[in-house]
Amino acid sequence: MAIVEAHDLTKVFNGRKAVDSLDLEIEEGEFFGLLGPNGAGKSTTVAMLSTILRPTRGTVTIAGYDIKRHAKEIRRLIGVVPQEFGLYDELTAAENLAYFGKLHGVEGGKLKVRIEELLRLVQLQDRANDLVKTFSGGMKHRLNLVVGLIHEPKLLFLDEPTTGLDPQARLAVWELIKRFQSEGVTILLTTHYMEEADYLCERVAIMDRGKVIALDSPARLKRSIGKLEVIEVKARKVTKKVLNELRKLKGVRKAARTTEGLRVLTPAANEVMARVVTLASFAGVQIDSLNVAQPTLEDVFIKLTGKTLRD
Amino acid sequence: MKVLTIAGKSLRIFFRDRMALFWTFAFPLLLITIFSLAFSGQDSIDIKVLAVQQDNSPTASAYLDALDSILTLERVEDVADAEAQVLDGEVVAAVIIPPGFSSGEESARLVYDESRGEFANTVVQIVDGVTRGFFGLQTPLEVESVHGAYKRWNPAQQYVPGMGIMMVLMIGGIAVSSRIINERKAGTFKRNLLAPIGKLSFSGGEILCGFLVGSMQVLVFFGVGVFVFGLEIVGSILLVALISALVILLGVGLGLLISAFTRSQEAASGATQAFVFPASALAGLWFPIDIMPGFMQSIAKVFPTYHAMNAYQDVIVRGKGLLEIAPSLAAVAGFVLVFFALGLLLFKWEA
Repeated sequence: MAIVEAHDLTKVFNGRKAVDSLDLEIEEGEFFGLLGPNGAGKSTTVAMLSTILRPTRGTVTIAGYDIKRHAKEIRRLIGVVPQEFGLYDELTAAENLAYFGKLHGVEGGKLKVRIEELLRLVQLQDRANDLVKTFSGGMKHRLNLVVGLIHEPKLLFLDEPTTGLDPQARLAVWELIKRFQSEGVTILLTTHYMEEADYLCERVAIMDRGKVIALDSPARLKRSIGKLEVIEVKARKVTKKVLNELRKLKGVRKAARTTEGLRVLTPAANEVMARVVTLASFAGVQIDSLNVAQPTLEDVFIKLTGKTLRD
Repeated sequence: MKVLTIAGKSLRIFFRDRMALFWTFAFPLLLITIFSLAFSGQDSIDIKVLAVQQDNSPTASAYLDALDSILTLERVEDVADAEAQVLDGEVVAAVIIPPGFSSGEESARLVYDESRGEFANTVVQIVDGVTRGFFGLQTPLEVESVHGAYKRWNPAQQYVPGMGIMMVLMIGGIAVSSRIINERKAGTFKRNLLAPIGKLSFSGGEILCGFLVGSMQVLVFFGVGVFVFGLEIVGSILLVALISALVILLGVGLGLLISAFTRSQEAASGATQAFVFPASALAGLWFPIDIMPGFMQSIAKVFPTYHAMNAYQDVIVRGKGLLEIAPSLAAVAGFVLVFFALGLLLFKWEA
C-alpha cells in the first residue's frame, strides 16, 4: 500500500519551476531516495510532501490524507530531519527532545522513556543534560536525526542527512538510518551522494531541474546503462575545453568532469582509453590513473544529463 | 593582505544592505533633525498658562501681554474652570486678574500645581520676574499652590512610568522580533511548523513569553519605584496593572510587526529603536511634555506612548478612575490592535 502518492506535483517560484509535474508513489516500509544535484528540486519536494510548502499545482496524499486539507493529521504521522540543525542551542539535548516531543503530543513517562531510548541510540545518553551549544558538529548531527523520531513517525523525511560529514561519520549515520528502517519506518531520503542512495535505498528517483528523469531500484538503474562501459580517469587540470574535445572523440557517448578527474561512458572502453591518453598528453592534462569501473548511479546521471551530480 | 580582502568583502556586503545603510546614516540624521526642530527657534518659552482677565483695564491687558511675550497664555472666562484645569493636571498654572486689580484694590493670583516640581517652580519664577519688571518692587501678585494627592514633586512619578514604558517597548520589540528571527535562522521555526500545532499556537507562545517578560519588567520597575524611590500610587493599583498590560502588549505587538519585515537581529533592533526613541522623547517619557513647543506637543499625541504616560500619571499622581482614563486606554488599545493585526497579517509562515 502506498503511503505517499503525489500526482502532477509542481512548485513555481518567481516563474521558475522548482518542481515540475512530479508523480511519485512510495510504499509503506520502503526506503526511497530522491537523488539529484543541488537545485534539482529535492528539498522543495520534501517541503511540499511534509505540508510546510503549498504546491502550485498537483495533489499529494500521505497515508490517505490530503496535504491541503489534513495537514495537522499528516504532521502527526511524519517526522522530518531538516538539512540544517533545527535545534535550540540554549537547551540541553534532553530538553530539545522533550520540547519537540510535547509539540507532537508525547508526554509524561512515555516521553521520558523515548528520550532515553533515542539518546542511547545516538550514544548521547551521557550528554543528555548538556547544552546543545557545547556539542560538536557530529553530536549535533546525531541529535538532529533523532529529534525527527521522537513521536515515532510512520514516515520519515531525511533531507540531505550527511551533507558536510566526513566519510567515517557518514558511514555511522548510514548505519543509524538503517536501524530506523528496521523499526518499520518508511523513509524518504534526499541526497546528492550517489553512494548514499545506492547503499541505503530500495528505490531511487533521479531528479534534475525539477523533474524525475529515472526511477527504479539502484541495481536496475545501473543496469540501464546497458552495454556501455565506464572509464574512470583520475587526472588534474581537466578544463572545459579538454572535456569538449573528449566528447568529440570517436566511441565516447558521454563524458563528465568529477572532483577527481573524468568519467567517460563508451561501448568500447579499450579503444577509447588509448584515445583519451593521446588527447590528454596533447592538452597537457596529467593522468594519475585510468581504469574501467563498475557503473554507478553517477554514471546513470551522466548518461541521462551529460553532467555529474556535483555540477 | 588577507585583512584588506576580508575588510573589502565586509564593506561590499554592508553597502549592499539598504537596511544597514538606513540605520547607520539616515536614521541618526532623522533623529538629529527631529530634536533640532523640537528645541530650536524658540523666542518665547512655550509653556501654556491659563489667564482669566476680570479687570479689562489697559494696565491689566498690558501686564498679561508682558506675560504672553514669555509664556503662552490661553484665555479662559471662568476662574473655577481655570483652577480645575490646574488641579486636574491639564496646565501647570493659571494667572487670575480679579476686578479692582488696576485700581490697586486686588492683587493678581497665580495658581500653580505644586506637584509638577521644578517645572512649576520655573513658571512661578517667570511670572514673578515679569510682574516685578512690570510693577517694580511692590508686586501685586499672590502666589497660591494647589495640588492633587501628591503634595511634593517626586521624580519617580515621571521616570518610573516614563522609563518603564520605554524599556518595556524596547525589550518587547527587540526580544520578540529577535527570537522569531533566530528561530528562522536556526531552523527551529521550520521544526515548529512541522509539528501538529496551529499557527496561532506558535505566535501565541511567543506573545505569551513576551507578555510574561514584560510583566516581570513592570513589577521590577514599579517595585523599585515604590520601595526605593518612594513612589506613591494615589489611584488604583489595578488600573496601573491594566495600563501596564496594554503597554506590554504594545511592546509584544511591536516585536511581532517588526519580525514580519526584518530578516536580521540588527535590522530588528534598529527598527525597534526607530520607533521607541522618538515615541519616548517626543511623547513626554524622558521629560515633561510641557516644555516642548506647541506643535511638538500636538505631534506627541500621535504616539501611543503619550496616551500610556497620561493614563499612568492620571492614576498615579491624580488618582483618576477608569472612566476618566478610558480615552487614553482606548488610544493605547487601538495601537495594540493595529500592531497585532498587521504583525499577524504580514507574518511569513513559510519556513
